[in-house]
Amino acid sequence: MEHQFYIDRLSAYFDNELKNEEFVIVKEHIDQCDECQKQLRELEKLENLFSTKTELSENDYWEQSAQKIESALGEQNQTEIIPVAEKASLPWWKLTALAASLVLVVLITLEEKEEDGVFQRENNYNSTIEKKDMREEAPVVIDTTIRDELSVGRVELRTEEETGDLGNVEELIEDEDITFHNQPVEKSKSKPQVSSKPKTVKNDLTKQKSKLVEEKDVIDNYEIGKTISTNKKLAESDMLAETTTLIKVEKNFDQSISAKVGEESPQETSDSEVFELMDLAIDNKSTDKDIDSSVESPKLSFNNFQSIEVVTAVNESDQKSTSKITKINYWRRMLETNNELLKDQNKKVISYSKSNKKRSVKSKKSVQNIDLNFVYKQLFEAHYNIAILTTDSTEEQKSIQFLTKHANSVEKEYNSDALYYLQLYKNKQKQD
Amino acid sequence: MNKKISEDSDSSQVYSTGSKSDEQKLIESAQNGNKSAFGKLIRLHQKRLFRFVYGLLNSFDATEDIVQETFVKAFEKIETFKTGYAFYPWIATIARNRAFNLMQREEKKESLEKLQEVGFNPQSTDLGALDKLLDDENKKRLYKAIAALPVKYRSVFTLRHFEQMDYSEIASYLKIPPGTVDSRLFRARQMLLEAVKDLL
Repeated sequence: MEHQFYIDRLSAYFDNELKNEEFVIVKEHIDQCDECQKQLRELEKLENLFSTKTELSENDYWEQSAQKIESALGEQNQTEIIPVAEKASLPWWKLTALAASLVLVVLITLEEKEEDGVFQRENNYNSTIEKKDMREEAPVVIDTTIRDELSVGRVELRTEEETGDLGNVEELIEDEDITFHNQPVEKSKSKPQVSSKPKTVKNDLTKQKSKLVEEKDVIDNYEIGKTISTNKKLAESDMLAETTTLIKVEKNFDQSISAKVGEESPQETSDSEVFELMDLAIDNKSTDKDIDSSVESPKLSFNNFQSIEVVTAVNESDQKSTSKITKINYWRRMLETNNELLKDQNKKVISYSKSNKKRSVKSKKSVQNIDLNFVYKQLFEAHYNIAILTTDSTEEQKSIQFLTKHANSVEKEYNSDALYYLQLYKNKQKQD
Repeated sequence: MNKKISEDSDSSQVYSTGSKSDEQKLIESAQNGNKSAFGKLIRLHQKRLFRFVYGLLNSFDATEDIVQETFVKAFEKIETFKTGYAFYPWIATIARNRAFNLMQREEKKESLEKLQEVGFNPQSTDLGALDKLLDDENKKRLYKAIAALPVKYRSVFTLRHFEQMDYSEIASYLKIPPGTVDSRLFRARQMLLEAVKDLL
């Protein structure tokens, strides 16, 4: 046999990885071949060298490192005591909610500074509205009554409005039947705009503060999907509402704080319409030709929301979709879209690493996780819904396998969400 | 010759501060929520785990992250650990899976072949923060040589050398044929020999 045949097997021979017959053949050759014996001796020296010389030195670093890990364990325990969402790296909605709370706190603080009934935060309020208008790019019509009130600067006129807003904010977190922003309008409109005196204002402010505290508690304890599901029974159509809740929370939060929607659009959004909207959003996303440029954005997963917001605007201008799709198709497309997102995400991370060569892998990783958590959650949700809706047992099996795989893998970062949907599926099966 | 690598030098070191049963006591204590017992387990195994993960990732920051995440995850799941088994292989498996996930995310998508064919130049490799943890110039040479190995050779070498995995385990883990493990390991060793010839 060629000498190279034996050379190729020297490593395996050295590691005792050859099968018996092969071992005998190679050994016979080595016994007669000086070059192979020399190679073998070098391999042994190399092995010894790497065994003895690769031990890391004693250093203060190790104690610091151990302490750092121990403190991380402490943080982990805290999250167990306070049932915060397990994926703390998914903070966009939470941040939005907290930011909205902060805006409220600022508004209240400013209100407390009022003197002689003069409404001093008029400018702030208006600027908030303007910012919102620019961001939304939706035909939001500000209630002219409120504008008039603001221009007059009467605090008592605002008090009832704000109380109404806070009530909505609280409901937005707790209520799964959140609809688009027209609902808060109805709510606020249903309340009579009664003038109240400064003393009443103070009482209301106290109520508002306590509501804020409650609201914060709700936010802190808000676990994606779980709070929603435990609040009310999950009707099949409500699964979509659950998906869109995060989006709606963000939307309603902003809008209930800073803007009133025009009176001419208090149309209730039914579940079927929501499906259409979401479907349109997906169409919009998947046909977006600028997707490659958006890949560079560190907030890739927000593309969906932006699209949905656009669609909402379309809805507000009474352009209804005529397509009627089934729920299962919706979830299939959701699956497809999120798979695309995953691909795009990978591209993003790579382009990020290319353009930031000096940045550590750590920072790249943290950027990546923020988006992936949500994408994976949507994937799990889609698989869950496909599993319960489909009549094709193969498809059901495939989805459940996907969930099981992620739920069972210790090393994956997203297993708790997968486990949650798997559990939902099992509960559903039991009910059926 | 025909030598099978037995326990590497680290294994004896792992238990040098106490017997195996001491480790079991620490594990049981940690399973009851004792963080300081788990802290001792961290101190026992972190260096070995760090060295192994660094061998795979060739990045100090990423290794720090993975090691920390591994211990945090291990503490979370410590109740599921079957007492009587060695602790290190368990955490090494967690760390290895995480490290490979990261490697796949970072490298596989970016034309793995290109990365793998990058030239071998151990002299130009920057050890970064790891440099401080190596008190010997020869050690630095060795780490630089490992770090300079192309990914496909480095992963095979690290699994074999630091984790003593056999060829079939490596093959099944990396999803490559056992023959490929053989040839890659041989190639990795040739490269390393070339890089540290004067130290032999």
